[in-house]
Amino acid sequence: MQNAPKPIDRDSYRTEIEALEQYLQRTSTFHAIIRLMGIVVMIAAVTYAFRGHYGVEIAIWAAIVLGLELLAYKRTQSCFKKGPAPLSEDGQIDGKPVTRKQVRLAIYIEILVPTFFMTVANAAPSLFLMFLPAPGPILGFLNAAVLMLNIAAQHTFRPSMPFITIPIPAIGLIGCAWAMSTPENFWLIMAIAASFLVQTLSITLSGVRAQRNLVYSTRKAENEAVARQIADEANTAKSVFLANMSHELRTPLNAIIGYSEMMMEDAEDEHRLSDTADHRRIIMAAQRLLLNINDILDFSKIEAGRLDTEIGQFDLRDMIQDAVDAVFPMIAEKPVQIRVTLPEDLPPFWSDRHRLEQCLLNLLSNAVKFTHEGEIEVRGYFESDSAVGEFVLEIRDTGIGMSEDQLSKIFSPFVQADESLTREYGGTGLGLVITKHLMGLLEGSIDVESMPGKGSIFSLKFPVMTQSALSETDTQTPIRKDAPLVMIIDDDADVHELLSRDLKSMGFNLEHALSAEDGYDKLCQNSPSVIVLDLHLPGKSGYEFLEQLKCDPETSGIPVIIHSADCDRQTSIQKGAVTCLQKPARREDLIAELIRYARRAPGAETQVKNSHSARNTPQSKSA
Amino acid sequence: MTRILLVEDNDDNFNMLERRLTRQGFVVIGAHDGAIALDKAATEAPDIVLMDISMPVMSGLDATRELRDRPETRGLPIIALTAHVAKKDRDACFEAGCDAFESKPVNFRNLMETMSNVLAIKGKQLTAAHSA
Repeated sequence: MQNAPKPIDRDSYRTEIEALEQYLQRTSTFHAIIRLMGIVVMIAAVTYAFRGHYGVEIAIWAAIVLGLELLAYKRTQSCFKKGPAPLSEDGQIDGKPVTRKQVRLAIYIEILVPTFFMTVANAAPSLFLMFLPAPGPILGFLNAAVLMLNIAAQHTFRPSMPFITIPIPAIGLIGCAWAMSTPENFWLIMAIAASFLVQTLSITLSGVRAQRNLVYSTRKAENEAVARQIADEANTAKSVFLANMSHELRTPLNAIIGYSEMMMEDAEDEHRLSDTADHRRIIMAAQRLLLNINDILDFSKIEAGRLDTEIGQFDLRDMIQDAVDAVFPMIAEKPVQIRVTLPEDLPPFWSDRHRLEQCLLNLLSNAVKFTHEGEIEVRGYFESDSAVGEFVLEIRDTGIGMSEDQLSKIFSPFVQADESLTREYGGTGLGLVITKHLMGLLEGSIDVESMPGKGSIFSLKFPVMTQSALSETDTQTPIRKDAPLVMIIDDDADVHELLSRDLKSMGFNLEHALSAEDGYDKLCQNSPSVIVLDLHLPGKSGYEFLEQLKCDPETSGIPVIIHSADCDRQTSIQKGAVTCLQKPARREDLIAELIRYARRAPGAETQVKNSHSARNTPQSKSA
Repeated sequence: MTRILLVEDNDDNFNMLERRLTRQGFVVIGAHDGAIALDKAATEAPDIVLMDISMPVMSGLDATRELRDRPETRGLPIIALTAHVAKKDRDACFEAGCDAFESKPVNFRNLMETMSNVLAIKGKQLTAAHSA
């Protein structure tokens, strides 16, 4: 026995109904009027051609054709008004299960029957005219030809439709052609008629395809929009869920770590050594758990493109010390030393302390994990001595090292260099993925060298803006030639005064302009790395200046930071600015943006050198 | 002795922090939600507030805003102490008027430093009775 046919689902039903509706819309009122006009012209032409003859026949024919047209039109309209029969959840209409095939057939018949009769009514005159004396056959030929054009334009609902409706007018067309031909031009006339027929068919069939594509592409666009909305909602739900989860995991951890620390302090005070050690283990395990939670959350944020950075001023030595302190308990029971080597006079750094520390901590905890004896060295040095320089942090260990094959995998998510390592050393396998991504966000890079059995060297290279100790005391000191040039365009002298104090001490070179025109002149002499632009200027406005700047290919690449009391972020970015800061901007924010864009500017000599290392494209900041 | 208003709805965390702070020699005033915190801030004259954020009845953010609105508590140092650690949560804390932000799980040493820094800005000192 065959399987019972599957009832139609709602989605397919909707598609079928939509196809019907679109077809009816296309062939409705407007087309009916055109058709009607064709019929009236034909009746008039025939009446005139046979003045005084066939009056009754022509009248009957006209009545039949007009009646049929009217009937078909009313039927279509009522079809529109009634709307489709409701389909129940389990694919039933009026209590009877229907298959997709049945629905399609019912709709087709609904359309085909009236169309067929209308076509017959319209073709009928040609069938008679071919037997009449001239100009009967010519009029019949024209009537059939007009009808064919109509069919080509309209009978596109299904591929089989033209094959059912064309034969009647085709007989009229061929018959009239035959009747009006003479023995000399018989083949010529027949060829014209045949070619007309073939072309009608081919146009109709391509119309069928267009109709179907229209239905499906509309449907597809709708489905895609729905899918996108669902995905967006799911993404938001996921973010909310992750945020809640983070909170719910951290809250009990707070109690665990807090109580353990308290008990450890007690045990230490009372010199209970083994208790102290046990409590320390609990704390370390809890800290490890916290790091894992952070890794997973960060990774989800990377996937959602929501990880961002926050640039501020900090002391690198402090940061490194914090990271080393954090992993120190892990080497307490191993013959491993941690050594930190940094330049003597380390200036304050501008970068994202939290993210850098996270990267360093990831690398350090790996180093500690995979090193059983020997030394772990954290070494920091400037790669170039320009104001916006590259700083390198190297983490060198004498651990188990990695082979070429393992090295190729370590930056892929979820993959540890070796599965057996997971069993032996644990870990989420996300640390390096996150580190690489974070370095990308900070416009830096991560490199690795390793030898199995000898150890590994990971190096983080990142841009930092350092406050030069020299220029702090004397802002008039000529600063380095290779420092990025920042042009400030603002009509308020106080703003110039304020910004120049901050920026000069940060090691930027400055150019001042009090109006857009002034700025443009100076710009042509000396191209700045970045422009800080006020919007309200005497003469030309800030936006006008921006437009002028962006039109000229010489200057269109210079990043412009809008700094104005009423900055509209969207407009600014549309007009070509890189960002927009509300005036007065926080010193940190402005400097962070300047560092970001001064480095990217094509004209800046201190541009990031492209290394072959793992470098990510920076992600735009997102909320 | 510095009087700390500890606002925290989770019993374990409240108990743990209260004991740790008391052991350091501070006077701890407890509140289990933002509304109680407002009362205690008015009656108990705390020197500093450690404010959890997600709490029943009145959230830490609302409580902070309310404290900032009242003339008598406008200058009261408030440190947000929360397990909501995303940047936007932190920004929300500062926007509501918190002076500092510490994440949970609490790093006790950092918390001490932050308290001392926040008080120093207001011209006060973090003082404890002889620690136990």
